[in-house]
This record gives sequence, C-alpha cells and structure tokens, in this order.
Amino acid sequence: MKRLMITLLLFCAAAGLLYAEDALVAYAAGYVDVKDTAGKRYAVNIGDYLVPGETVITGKNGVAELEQGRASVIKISPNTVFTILESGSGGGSKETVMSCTVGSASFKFAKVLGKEPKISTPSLTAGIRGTAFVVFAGADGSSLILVENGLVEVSAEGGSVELNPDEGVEVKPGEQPGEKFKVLWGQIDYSQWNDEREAEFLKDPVTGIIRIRKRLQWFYENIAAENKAFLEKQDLLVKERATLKEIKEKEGEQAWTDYYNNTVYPLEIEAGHRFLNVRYFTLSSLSFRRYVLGKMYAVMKATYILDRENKAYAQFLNIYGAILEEFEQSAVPHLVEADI
Amino acid sequence: MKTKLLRRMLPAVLLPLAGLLIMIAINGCDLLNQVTGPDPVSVQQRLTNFIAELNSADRSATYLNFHSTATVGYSQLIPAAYWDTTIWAKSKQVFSLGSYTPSAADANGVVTVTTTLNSADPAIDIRFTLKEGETTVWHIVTAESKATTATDWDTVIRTIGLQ
Repeated sequence: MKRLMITLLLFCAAAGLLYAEDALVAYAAGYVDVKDTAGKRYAVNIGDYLVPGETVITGKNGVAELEQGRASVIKISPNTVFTILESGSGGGSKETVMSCTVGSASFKFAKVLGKEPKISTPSLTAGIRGTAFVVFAGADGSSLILVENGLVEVSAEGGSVELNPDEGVEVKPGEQPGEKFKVLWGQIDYSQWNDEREAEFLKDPVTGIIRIRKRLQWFYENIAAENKAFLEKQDLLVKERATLKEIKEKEGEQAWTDYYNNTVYPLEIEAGHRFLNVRYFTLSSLSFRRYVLGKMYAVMKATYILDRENKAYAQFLNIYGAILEEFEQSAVPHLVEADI
Repeated sequence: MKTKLLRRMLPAVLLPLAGLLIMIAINGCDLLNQVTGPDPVSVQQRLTNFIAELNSADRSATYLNFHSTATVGYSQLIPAAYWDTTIWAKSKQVFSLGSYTPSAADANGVVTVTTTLNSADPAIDIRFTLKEGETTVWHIVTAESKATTATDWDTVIRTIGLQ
C-alpha cells in the first residue's frame, strides 16, 4: 500500500487533502450550500467544482459527494461544515487541505498519486497512511477518526497514536489522542456521538471552553510563527535586493541575472508561501471560532437563560470574553473583510 | 368623459414609469448588465488589466483579475499585502509582459499564455491559464513562474492557483 500522509485539522475531524485538481460535486441531495471565496452563499449543483477557500454546508437532510479525479471520493454527511483550505509547505510548494469543522466526512483514496495528500482538523494533526477512513467533528471541538483501511498516525499536543484497520481514536481539543479502540462498523452513530459530546460539554462547560481556548492558542502560535518567518523573509529580501542592485552596477547584467535567479527569486517565492501559511492558520481559527465556539456560546445562553447568575455560566462567559480578546489580537489583524 | 378618465389613469401609468426611471438611474449599470450581460473582457485585455493593477499605487483590486471560484487559494490573494510580496513586489514596478500568443481553448475551456514577466528585476518566465468567468469575460485561473534558467515547468515552484 502506498503511503498517504494526512494532517488532520480536527474540530469535526475532517479533512482530506487533494491535489491541484478541483473537487467535483458528484452528488448532492437535500440542503447543500456552498460559501464561495468571496463570501457568497449559493445552493450547490451536481457538476460544480470546489476550490480552496470554499465551504460546503449541509443541513440536517443534506449530503454531498466530492470526487477528485479518479483518486479520491469524499462523502459529506448532514449537518456538516466542510472547507477546502490551502497552506504553503516548508518546501515551498502549496498544499490543499480539506477540513471538517463540524459534522462528519468519509474519505476513500482509490490510489495515491505522486504527491501525498494532507488532512487536518482543528484538534489534531495526523499522518495517515491509509486509503479509507472517517472523520467526525463534534460540537465541542472533539474529533473522532475511524480507519477502515491502511494506517493512520494521529498526533495532537505532542502525543501520537497509530491506528490500524478497524481501529479508531477520539481526540479532545487541546489534549493528546485518547486510547485507541476497536471499531464496530455500523454501530457508530455520529448524531449519538455528537449528542454525547454536547452533553459532556454541558456537564462541565468550563473544562470544555478551556480546551477550545487551548486549541485556538495553538492556531495563534502558528499564525505568529509563520508571520515572523514571513517578516524575516521580507527583511532578507530588502537586503538581497540591495545586494542585487550593487551586483548589477559592479558586475554587470549576467551576474545580476544569476544572483536574482539563484538567491532573490527563491526568497520571493518562500515569502509568498509563508504569507499563505499565515492566512491558512488564520482562516482555520476563524472557522473554529465561528462554528465550534459560536455554537457553544449559543447553547450555553439557551441553557442558562433562566439562571444567568450560575457560577459555571459566569466562568464560561469570562473565558469566552478572554478568547474573543485573544482572537482579536492574534487572528483579526490577518483577516480581510471578505473572510468575515 | 374620456378626458376625465385619461386624467385619472395618467398617474397610474406615469408613477410606475417614473419609478422605473429612478431605478434605472440608481442601478443603471447593474440592471443593464442583467439584461445585456457584463462588458466582454478578452484574454489579452485581462492580462493588460492585471499588469495595470500591478503597476498601480493602490493594488487592492489586483485579485479581481483572478477567477473567484476556479482559482485555488483565491481568498489568499485578496489582501493587498500579498501583492507587495514575492515576485509581484511593488519595488519591482514597472511590470510588463513579453509578447505572447494565447493557446486555443482546451476541452475545459482553458486558455494558456506563456510569456515573460518583465520588471525592474531580471525577467522571469510566466505561464497563465485563463477561463471565462461569465460568457466572454475571461479571468486568470493560475499563474506559474520560474527562473528563466529553469527549463521544466513541472519542477518549478507554483506561485498562484496551483499547489
């Protein structure tokens, strides 16, 4: 079996990384919308193509199936928010990542093409060497990965677990992967699992929102690190451009062209990809805040509508306020109007 | 009798007409576009517009030359900061394209243009693909670049629209 590397960006658990090809909407039924990169929302049609930056939103009766060439099939379940993202990799090339913010999606790779795909979910990163797996993203930011074929290495918060066929693992936001378990196919009901996650969150909302905060902070750290790298490359570019100018004056056109091709041009490309990484982590944190934290807030408000003085509710609101402030400081500077 | 009837009917006819005229005055272009479609933008005109944006002081509209749904990573191209980075840096103004002949459209309606991107820095090779966003309105889908010394497009680092 060929190796399939995937990074899971788990809130929902979700994602599938595809290649340069667009994803074809091969099937859609019920309520299925697409939010395009300009922020416009419209009903999806069979035959549409999705590109990074676009989000598929399914309602309670909505399902969609995406195909990418002959290599992969992604089935998006009801009540799911599924986004195609893009990030630059360390090697300079860009990677497309499919992320399920809430809901569930299953992935089947009929064959692995030249470049290994990547998958990510908000609560974990996973290297996947497999061809068929399912990802669930819960309302509380937890993720569940179930492997049908192949091997999956799930990593989160410095810990990792390797999953074989018919094994699964749950990952809570901000925590290492839990104990792996045997998957009894046909007995796992996403709605039930999600209801349990929501019930667990309501039992201890303070712990739940602390986990969410930790995961968001992980995004902010990546935003800061990538932005720092981007700014460093920018500074270096300024210096190299000055050198380039000197070379042109002192050594002539050929030396000038050689120095540009070998030194300045690769730096320009690297800086661009760092910029894309900043945007990738920023947009991921925005989705997490919008679809996971936002839902938690709504659930808490509804639950405590007649008990506003509740201690747990007050603590939740305090942490929620702190999260909004951190988001404002760390992510908002990298957002543009069209993102919101 | 007839005159009275006409006088009564006149407001009923004129008021909607006046309303329509006001709507056209306010939304003239949009309404007209809905009826006649947007102005055509050819492949050459799109690339000319793109280069003009690169050469302008305010580059916040540069991304609009790209296809909003077919361009991979379109959302990343929106911030003006992106355009002041990488091969498009403002310090490299003035930009221009070398001569080119657009390919015939392939089965997916995609046209390829391969040429050079000239600027204050040494020229680089550049390859665009373009697609019709709406009928007769062409947009850039991808832009790839490579140093002129590199020979194989498949090994180059992508710049826009492809991973």
